Amino acid sequence: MNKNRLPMTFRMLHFFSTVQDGTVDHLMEALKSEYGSERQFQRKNLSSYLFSMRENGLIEDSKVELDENEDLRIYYRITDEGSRLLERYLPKDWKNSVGA
Amino acid sequence: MVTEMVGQLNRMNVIEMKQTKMQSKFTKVGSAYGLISGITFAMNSIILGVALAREPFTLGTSAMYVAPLVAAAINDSITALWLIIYNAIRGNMNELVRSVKTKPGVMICVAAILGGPVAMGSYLLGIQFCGSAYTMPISALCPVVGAVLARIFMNQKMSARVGIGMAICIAGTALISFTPPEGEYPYFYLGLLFAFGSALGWGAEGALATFGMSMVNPDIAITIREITSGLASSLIVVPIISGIGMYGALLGTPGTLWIIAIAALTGAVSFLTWYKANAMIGVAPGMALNITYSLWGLVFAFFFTGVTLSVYLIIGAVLVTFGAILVVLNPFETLTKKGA
Repeated sequence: MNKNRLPMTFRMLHFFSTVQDGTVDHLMEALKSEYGSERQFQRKNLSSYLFSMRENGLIEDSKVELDENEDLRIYYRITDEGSRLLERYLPKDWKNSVGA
Repeated sequence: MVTEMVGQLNRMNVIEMKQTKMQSKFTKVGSAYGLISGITFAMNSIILGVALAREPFTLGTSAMYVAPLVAAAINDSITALWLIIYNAIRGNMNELVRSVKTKPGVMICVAAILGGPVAMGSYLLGIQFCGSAYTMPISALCPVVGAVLARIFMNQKMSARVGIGMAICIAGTALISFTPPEGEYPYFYLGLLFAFGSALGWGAEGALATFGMSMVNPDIAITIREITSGLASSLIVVPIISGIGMYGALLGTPGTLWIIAIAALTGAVSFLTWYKANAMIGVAPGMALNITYSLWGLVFAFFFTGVTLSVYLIIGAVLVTFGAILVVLNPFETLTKKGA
């Protein structure tokens, strides 16, 4: 359990640095134990923020497919710019404890 | 085999179509936020102008200099309150505290001091000395400042488009400054100088905040900004300019205070939608849409404050707006890329 919890938006970017790619559902699964009890932790919010992160070049589409309900399932992966920002702004204790 | 291939092609078309639709919707919503931020910022400016003409801002020998800064401090403080309420409702308060402790969070605070007490104070001094109709277009030069700072400090090359945009802005500014308006504006040119000061402050804020905002939730970034700016203005600037008396008198003048509270509400909406637009469609397009405030401002000023709009002012404001938009993006490219 980390002493200093990251802002959720940082933690989202950090998640993408630890996986090849992932969807919003993978993200929620990974972050549920840390942020699950917070009101901001909703699929709609996270999806919207992922879209913004993509608009700002922090992550990019890895692949897109249709799920069982014919809705889009978007896989994102971190970009070089995202990695650079994470490297620059991630607090020291996060850099050491979890591989970034 | 062929059926399989056709099936796959169909699926790919459906995916592409759905993606385009999603992108288009996102861009439309982001652009709408950008425009709303421009309209509401103009409203905020006009309403503050109305408040500045009332007591206690008109009392005292040095009121002319003190009032705008006191108004800026209260405006930012009440805007911060509105934003805190908004974030509390959305369940963002924990995230806000966590975000302030990060490096980007600190950068937002520094940017806030540049954009808050420095820029907003200059802006309101501009409104005081040369009127809101003149201050707004001049202050809209901030992307030019941002571009110059980016060139100097971040080695970002200035393209021909940016250079041309800047030239158009300067031409527009010259046109606006050409003839003072009718009425009581004895310090017209001082007002223009202050208006330019606000462009400097906001341009610098934009450059710095862009770094900070990339990883922080925009709703939270703007709240941090307003809290910092409200506190810095109220606790540091107001005492320095001997404005405590006026600040206190304002708190005891409900009529004017309510007007500022309403101005601050439009300001809160403006900032929220501006930062949301930046996050959704990018900082450059977001700023371009926000900058339309100077034109909305002319419209509102004309209808609500009875100012006479000279031809030079109108053409100048249009030029500055167009030039500023050109500095931040290529409008033709953007319009054709993002679609209707």
